[in-house]
Amino acid sequence: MFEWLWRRVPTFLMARRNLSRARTRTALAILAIVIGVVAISSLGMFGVAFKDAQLDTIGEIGSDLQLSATGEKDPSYITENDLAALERIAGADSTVPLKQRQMQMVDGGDSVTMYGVVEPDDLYEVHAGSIPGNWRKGALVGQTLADRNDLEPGNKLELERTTTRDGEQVTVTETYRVQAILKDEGQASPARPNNAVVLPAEQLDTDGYTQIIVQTSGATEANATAMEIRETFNGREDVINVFERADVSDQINQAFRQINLFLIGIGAISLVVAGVSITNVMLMSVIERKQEIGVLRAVGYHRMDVLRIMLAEAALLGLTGAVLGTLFSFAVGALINGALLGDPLAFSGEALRYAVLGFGFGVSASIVGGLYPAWKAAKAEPVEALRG
Amino acid sequence: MSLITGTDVVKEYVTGGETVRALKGIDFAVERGEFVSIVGPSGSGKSTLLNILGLLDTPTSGIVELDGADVAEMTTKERTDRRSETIGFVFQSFFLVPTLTARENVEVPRLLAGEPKETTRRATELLERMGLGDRTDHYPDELSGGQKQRVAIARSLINDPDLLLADEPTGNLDRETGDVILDEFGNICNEDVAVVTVTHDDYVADYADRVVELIDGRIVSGEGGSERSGGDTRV
Repeated sequence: MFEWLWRRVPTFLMARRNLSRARTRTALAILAIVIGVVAISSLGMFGVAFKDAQLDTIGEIGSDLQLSATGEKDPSYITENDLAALERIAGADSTVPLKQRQMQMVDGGDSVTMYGVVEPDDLYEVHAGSIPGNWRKGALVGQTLADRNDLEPGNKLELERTTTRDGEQVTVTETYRVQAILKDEGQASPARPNNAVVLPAEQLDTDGYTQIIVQTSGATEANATAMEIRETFNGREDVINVFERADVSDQINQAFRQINLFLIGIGAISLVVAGVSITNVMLMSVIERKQEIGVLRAVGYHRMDVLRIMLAEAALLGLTGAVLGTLFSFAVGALINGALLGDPLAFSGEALRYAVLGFGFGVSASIVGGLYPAWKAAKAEPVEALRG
Repeated sequence: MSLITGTDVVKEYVTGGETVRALKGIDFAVERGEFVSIVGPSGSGKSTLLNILGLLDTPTSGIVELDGADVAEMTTKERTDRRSETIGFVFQSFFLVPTLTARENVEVPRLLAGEPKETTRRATELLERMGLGDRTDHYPDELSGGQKQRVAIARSLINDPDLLLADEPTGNLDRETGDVILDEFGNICNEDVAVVTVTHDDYVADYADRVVELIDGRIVSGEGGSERSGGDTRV
């Protein structure tokens, strides 16, 4: 096949013919490279898909700050005055105050978190129904909660809570009309709506705010704002707890990097083993062909020519193994993507980088593995080699 | 000028801590177009002499000159180049590459030289001349011993050598096939190529212009030349 093409590169022609001599041995050497390349590429791809899948669940960890009152604060919530001060620091547009309360579905049902929010558009996406422009009443229900209780926009939702009135425990039942169903969010999203009910802030008659989300444009800005808030509020005592989400994001990324490094390390070991098997195969071949190599030297092949032919053999083994291995890796990658991300073709740029890494590593492991046998073949004295 | 000359050539090997003197100071000269047969018992230094003539080995002392150039002063690379330009080899066991066809085997010495079309043309022509025009695409295991040796001769001629060295060229062949090969050497000599064979077979000598007998590293007889005879230094 492609004989005319091979004749253009005589070094490779001879190398290829030599490889065809011991087919099983050649096939096994290629298999070793395939396994190594698949190990690196698909473990890398697995790492990337795993990370993407985890980040899907956790949600986008942006550059938000989460503020809450610490135990030292009196009163133990964020007041309107605090909010005003925060808005002066961070700007009113990027400050999202939240109220929070626990309630229950009527008749001893599940516990439900209530959030009081002023501008729900800043935090949530609507799944069904719509949020009125001037939102004063009516509840927004998370998708999970809605599914579980068969709620649709327009339905009524009854919730109860226990409160102390005049020294006695009483159960208060409240009825809300569902305005919209909110899309579920990842674990990292502030005021996660999945199993919660969102009300206009003034409908939730708690004292002050439980949490303030400050949205900034990046990690650096978030850090600067956090410093300023700490400086303003936390004088003698820490009264405001400032949680920088970018820190968490850094830690998570770091963890995934380490996991991937570990996986790639395992893959790399298998490629080193593959390289050793190439060395073995080629050493055997050099010993078997000693006289033939002697003839080549006798008829005028330079040492470098012999070296090149032997390295071409190693490179051919490596290239074939790497091509097959990479194809196979994409098949494995598609299975992994299908299982973890729900889309077999969800190859990210990072995953492709691992494919390239595996390919390059496969070819170079072969060539490095072929160096010693090639050198041994090239340095043999023709007289000795011909004697056999 | 002689094609290749040797003056007081000594070759020593160290094997097992012992120094073996394979050639004990011989003089020789090979002219273009002559057929020289080196005979002698095994261990007499025939193959050592052939290796030195083929620039595969250098003498321990003494001077070997190819076309007037001292071989000892050449680098490994230069000797390799001179081999490819000037010398053709034929071996007792043929040493064909089993994965290459007859034509490709003939092309081997020129395979890395570029110009594949010219090389193929010349290889085909040589095979036709050797009577193997219908065997060009056969692999060595599809050829008889005589055919293999003729492929090997074609290979040795692809670079238009001045000197063809044959180590027991008929050793693995029956008498009849051997005659064909020796006739071919005769033809090659007619083209001004020197042919030097090393052989046990006395009958090869019948074809040679000169027979040189080596015993124990010394030339004991040789038509037109003898060990250190002075005057005539031809082998």
